[in-house]
Order: sequence, then C-alpha cells, then structure tokens
Amino acid sequence: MLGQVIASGAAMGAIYALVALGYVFVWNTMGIINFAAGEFITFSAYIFVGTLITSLALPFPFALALIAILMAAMGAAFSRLVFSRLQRQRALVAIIATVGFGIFLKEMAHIIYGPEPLMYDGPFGMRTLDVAGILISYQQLLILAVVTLIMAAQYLVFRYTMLGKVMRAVAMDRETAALMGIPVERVLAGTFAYSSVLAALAGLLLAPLFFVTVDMGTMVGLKGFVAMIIGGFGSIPGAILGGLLLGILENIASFTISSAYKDAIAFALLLVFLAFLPQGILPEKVVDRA
Amino acid sequence: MTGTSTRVALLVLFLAVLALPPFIGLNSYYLQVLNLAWIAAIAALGLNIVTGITGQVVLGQAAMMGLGAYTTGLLLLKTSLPWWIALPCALLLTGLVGAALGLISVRIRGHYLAITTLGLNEIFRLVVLNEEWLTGGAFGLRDIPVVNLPGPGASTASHLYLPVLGITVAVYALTLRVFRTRLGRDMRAIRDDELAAESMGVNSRMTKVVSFVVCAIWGALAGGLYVLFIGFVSPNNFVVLESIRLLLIVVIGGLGSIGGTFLAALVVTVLPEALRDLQMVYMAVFGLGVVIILLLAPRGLGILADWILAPFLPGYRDGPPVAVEQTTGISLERDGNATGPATTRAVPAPAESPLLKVRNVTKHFGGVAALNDVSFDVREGEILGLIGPNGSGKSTMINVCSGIVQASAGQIELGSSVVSGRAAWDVHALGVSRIFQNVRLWTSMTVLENVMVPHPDSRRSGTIESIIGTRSLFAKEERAREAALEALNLIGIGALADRTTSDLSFGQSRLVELARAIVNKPKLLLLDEPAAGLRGGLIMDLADILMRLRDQGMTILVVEHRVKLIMGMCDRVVVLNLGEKIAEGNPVDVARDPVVVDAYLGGKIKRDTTRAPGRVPRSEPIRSAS
Repeated sequence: MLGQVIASGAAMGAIYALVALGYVFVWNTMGIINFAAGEFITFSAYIFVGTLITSLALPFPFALALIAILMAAMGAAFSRLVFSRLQRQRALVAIIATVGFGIFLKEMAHIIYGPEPLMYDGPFGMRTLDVAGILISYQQLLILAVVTLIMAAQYLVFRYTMLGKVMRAVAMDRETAALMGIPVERVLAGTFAYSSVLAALAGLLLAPLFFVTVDMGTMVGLKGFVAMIIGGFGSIPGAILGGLLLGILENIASFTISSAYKDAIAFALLLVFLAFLPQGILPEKVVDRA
Repeated sequence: MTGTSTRVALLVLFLAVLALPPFIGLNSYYLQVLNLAWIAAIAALGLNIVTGITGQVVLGQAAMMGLGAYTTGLLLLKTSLPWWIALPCALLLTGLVGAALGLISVRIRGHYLAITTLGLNEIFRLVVLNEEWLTGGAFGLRDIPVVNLPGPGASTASHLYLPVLGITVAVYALTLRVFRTRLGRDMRAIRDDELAAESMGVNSRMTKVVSFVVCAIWGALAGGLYVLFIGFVSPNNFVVLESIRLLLIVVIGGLGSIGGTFLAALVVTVLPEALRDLQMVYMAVFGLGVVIILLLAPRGLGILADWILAPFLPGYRDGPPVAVEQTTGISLERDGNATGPATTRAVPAPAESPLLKVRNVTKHFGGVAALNDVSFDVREGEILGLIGPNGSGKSTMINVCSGIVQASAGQIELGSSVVSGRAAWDVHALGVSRIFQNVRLWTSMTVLENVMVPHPDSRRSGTIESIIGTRSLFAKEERAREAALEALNLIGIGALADRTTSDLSFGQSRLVELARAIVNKPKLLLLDEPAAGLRGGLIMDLADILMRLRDQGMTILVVEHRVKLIMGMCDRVVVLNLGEKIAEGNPVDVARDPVVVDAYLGGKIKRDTTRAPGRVPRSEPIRSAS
C-alpha cells in the first residue's frame, strides 16, 4: 500500500516541481515571487478544458501546443504590463500586487467560464497500469513523463545554448547585462513566458485529477512555493527535489495521519524546515544551477 | 485657507454624518452592512499596523479575527460568562498568539513570513472545520447570545450601530496617537531601514512583537464584535480570501495610512452592496485595482484621508509653509549658544584612560578573514582615525563595534561593559552611535522624526505608556523634540526639520544623519567615511564640528580616506591592511611608517623593466572610490 501512496504522491510532487520551477525562474531573473502562480494554473486549465478541448474539440496534441503558445504570449504581456514594473518595488509591494493580480485572474476565469466546475478525463481516460501490484493511472504516467522531458530539455538549453547564458547573465547582474547589450526586458518577458508555460502544463496535467474550478490552482500554487523553499530558495535542482519530496511526504502523511488535514501538511512541513533548515535542502549558493 | 480649524471642522462633520444613519431611518440591512464595514475597518487597521507601518507582510489576519470570534463565541456558549468578560479574554488569548507570531517574524521575513502566515490561516480554517466537538465544524457556532443595548431605531443593527462606530473611532484615534509618537516612529523606522533602526537604538524584536500583538488584538476585537453582533460564526468567515480582502482594504487606503484604511474599509464593504448587479465583476475589479494603485497611486485613498487628518500626523505645521532658506551646511555660529560653552583644548590631553577596548577581534565571512586578531584602544576624548586600503576591514570593524555584526572571536569593551555579543540596540544604549558609509535615513519620516528616534527620552518611553498615552509620554516626546531641534541647529540644518527626508540632497541627508547620531550625546561616535560625497568646503566644516564634539567630551572613531582630513583632525591613527593592524600612533609618525607607506599611502613605484609601462603593479591610490 505504501508503494501506491508513494507512486501517486510522486505524480503530485512532479506537478509541485513544475510550479516550483516557475517560481525559481521568475525569482532568479526578476527578483519577485509571483503569488499569482496558482491562478495562472487555474486560468490555463480553464482555457485548455473549457475552450480548446470542449468548445473547439481540438485533439490533445494540438490543444497542448496551442495552450503553450497562448500562455507564453499572455505571460510575456503580463510581464511587460505588470511584473517587470514590480521588480523595482519593495518586496512587500510586489507580494501584495501579485496576490491582487491572482484574484483578478481567478475572477476573470469565473466571469468567462461561469461557476460550474468543468470536467475532463484526460487523453487516456481513466485507464490504469498495474506495475507489481501498484496501480498507476496513465495520467500519472503522463505527468511524470512530461515533467521528466521538461527537466531534460531545460537542462540542455541552459547548459549549451546562448539563451541559457543570457538568462544566467540577467539573473546574476541585471545592470551589467543591460550594459553588455543584452535586451533585459525581452529576457525577463521570455522568462515569465516560460514560467507561464510551466503553469499551463501543471494546469492541464492536473485537470483530469481535480475538477476544474476557480480554486483549483490556488493551493497547488502555494504548495509549489513551499516546495521551492524546502528545496532551497532559488535553486533549480532544489525545486525539483523539493516538489517530489513534498508530494510524497504529503501523501504519506495524509494516508497515515489524517486526510482531513491534508492541506495543512505542506505548511506544517514548511514550519519545520524554516525552524531547522531555513536554507533548504540544496541551497542556491552551493549548488550551481542546472 | 485650509488651516487646522478647517480640517478639524471637516473631520467633525464627517464623523457627524457617520453618526446619522440610525436616526434617519436607514433600513436595518444597510445599517448591518455599515456595521460590518466598521468591523472590517478595525481588523484592517490591525493589519495596517503590522504590514503598512512596520513592513511585515501578513497574509493571515482573518485567522486572528477568527480566533477572537471563536474564543468569544465559545466562552459565551460553553460558560455563562457575560460578554464583557468573554471579549477581553478573547483579546488576551489572541494577543498571546500575536506575540508568538511576532517572535516568529524576528527570524522569518519577507516572502517566508507571507507564506507562513498564509499557511497558518489555512491551518486555522482546517482545525475549525475538522474539530467539530469544539467548533461545530462546517456549521459553525450558532445561537450565540447577541448583545442588546438600548439605542435609536427598532432593529439590533440599529441599536448596535453607534457603539460599534464609537469603538471603531476610538480604536482609530488610539492608533493614530501611537503612530505619531515613539512606538509608531520605531515601527516606521524598522519598515524604512531595519538595520539603521537597530543601530540607532530601536529594539526591533520588541517593536515587532508589539506590532503583532496590536494587530492580533485589533483583529480579535473585530472578530469578537462580529460574534456579539451577528450571533453566528462559521469557518467560511475567516478563510485566506478574507485575509486578502483585508489586505485589499489596507492597500486601497494606501499602505501605512491610518485614515485611508478607514475610508477603504467603507468603500470595499459598501461598494459591492451598492453595486449588487455587478457582483460577478467587483472582485476582479478590486484585484486589478490593487495592482494599479500599487503601481500608479501608492498612497491610495490615504491622499484624501491624510489631508484631513494632517493636524494629527507628524510633520504638520499650521499656517502657510515656512520659506525654507537654502541651507548650505554647518553653521558654526549657532553652535556655541546651542550646547553651552565649547571649551577649546589646545593640546590633546595625553594618555587618557581607554574608552573602547578592542581585544583580539577576528571576523570571518565564509573563508575570508575580514578582521584578524585586531587589538587597539580608543582613548576617552580623542578622535581616532581608522585608515587602510579598500577591503582592509575598516567598515567591518565599525560594524562589529556597533553590534550589527558579531565578531567570530575576541572581545570589545566600552568602559566597564562588554559590547561584543550584544544586540545593536543595546550597544546604542551603552552610548555608541554611528553613521553609515551610504547614508541610511528613514526616508518616509520627517527630518525631525529621524533625529527624535535615537533620543534617550524616546528610547525610555515604555511600550505600555506609549499605547495608553500617559502625561509622562508627552513630556518625553516634547523633550525629545526639543533635543532633536537643538541637534539639527547645532549642525546648522534646523530649517529642514519638517521636511520629509526623501526630498533631501545627499549632502543634507549626511548632515541629518550626523545630527541623528549625536542627539543622544553618545560616549563614542563611529563614523564610516563621513565626508564621502560632500563637497570641499563642507568637508572642512565637518572636521571642525567633529573637533568641537570631541572638545565637548565625545570620543570619535572615524574611517576616512582623505589624508588631509585625517592629519588635520585625528589625535591618533590605526592602520588596517588585509584585516590586520599594521600601525598605530600619532598621524605624523604613522604617515612616515614605511609599512604604512608601502601598504596604503603609496610606496615607491618599482618599475619592472621586463614589462610594458602600462602594467606597472602599484599600490592603490589613496582617493580611490570605495
């Protein structure tokens, strides 16, 4: 039974890792924490299920490509309009403004798609696979596959292309990067677009596990942030590790202790980490970015 | 003209209009909405104290409200206590929780604090939802005896309107008083620059705890009033979204503006009721509104409220604005009558007892030793120059002496007390004051307030008397104000007293910082490059004023790069290089010391004939920017 709990925890953890990665990228290039990340998940899940799959009846791969493009464009636009303006502000202002923007997104989803929850079975329906007595749904396998693919692609891009070097340069010193001719605003917009795509992926992968509601992404977004802190603030490997760890621990704890308090477990874990290991498992200073 | 009397008249008129509704037969539904607005105003005010004024992001104020509401409700239901005992008990309990949260906030800041308080709010909701035996679970607490007081109108809402409004106005008046006196200044100083606040004697730990306690108590009061008035609570009243709604109120009112919070509570609560048809849209509008206000008009409704309340806010002066003469700097003429006779001392008194004893101080940053086994004395009544190349550990030395950096090893004593290991504010209380290499003023406060913060009479005001507002508090405030003006006049910038420090030029800011450092008549003054960024004439004025301060008995440790200044005013000099002391003695001898000349003043340029002339290795130039 424990194997089962760990397997489904890992799938959830992979989602947290995706969201945590979004936080890391935005933090490392803009120096802000996007408290609207959860609402990006909600919003993209609505567009994906409500418009692309249900209204337009697009096949899964097309819808996937389209949502990625849409969310990237929206992310870039929001970055220009709102988020890049926040980086000059105090942390207090940036936190509150992103919370406010999250409410705006959530309510827009509510206005556009109405109060009824949307349902979506996913590309594979409800089928499951039996691996040595552990039942894993195809959806969970898809989640793990997509997340692994993203991690690998991202690693290669960061390691070997100019884009990665440019992003790292902006992350390390924005002023110097600008003086060296790097179009900082475009890099910031690009980073934000990428983190929005990560949120979109999280949204469409989660949709078959939850109903699509206005509150669907909020908790996932917050837990992604918790995962980032647990892994090490601003660290890419830390975000992945923190996400998986949080997903698995949360599932084990809700199975063994109390499922009613499932949502409290992440925060309790956060308090434990802040008390005893405030810099996280893989602090950014020591571990170089992937 | 818009003098004090006009504004006070407007305020009285505004409050009178607010008191009208029960008398003009407004229907009880709208009265109830207004009552809820006042309750939200109290809870949001608590949040404004901790987030807007002290700068600690809290995303869980609804849980404080909930704790107050549930405690009051449970005490009324399960014991037969009357409400006027139940409510204070709830305030006390929530206040204790606030104190615990304040202690957490000392270690956890910024984003961590935001997510932690949000998480605690969620945990509170889950506990209330799941512990049905105590809280009634999702159904909440029902049939709590509602308070009924005699009053105008027929409905309970109407009877309770004036008491609720009265309590709200009283809470705001109290908070406004706290805001402009000692405690409020300390809170704002922490928000603007926590490090500077700590070095200037503000006990940041205590101040944060107090601000969290006040925040919690105002939250609990709002929750308690809600219960006493509605007679019903459910977990849905105190979810994270409610915390965010309270934050919306604070932002729309302008972060840190007390009057603005009141207006915003009214707007955020009443507007959705007035525009019921637009119910779908208003939360989206509020969400977007917060972003727009923060980016484009950060003072929000505070612009309006603070104008009316100006007579009760710091930095207000009745009548037409005083023409501020262009102050050029230190006016030495005013010195004599401001601080008594300045006894000029022809020769520095020799071999005086050491005031500050630095013993074997070592400081490591990671693998780098910024200071390595440094020992020296600062003698009573002298100006000791601390010089050395960039990166030699001078600023670290100043930081260690002022308590904002703790030494890895070694000890520092001031007179008979040990300085090392103490918090920066305790070091300040012992009589050590400082200025920073980059000027660090509290930019939202007036010049006068900046200088009042470190004054001993500000520092001695107790927390309780600051909240209650005793006669002795006002006496101390008055003394601190006079001493601050005196210090400003001594430096020659008294005319700037009512300006906001963010409007000042760099040179003026530097002088304000100096006034702030000497207002408490410190035994030891630590100056980290006081002349950096000042123009030539001002630098020599500065040297003059430092020598005058010394002649009045102040001991000064100064880090400087300008040799002329050091030679002109220092009694002795200590030279650091790569974290080690390489020389100590009177300026003339030190300047001749071959080791010092080699390390710092610029040795003979050894031409390496095998290399191109452009790549001659040489010591660092003495006036290099740091």
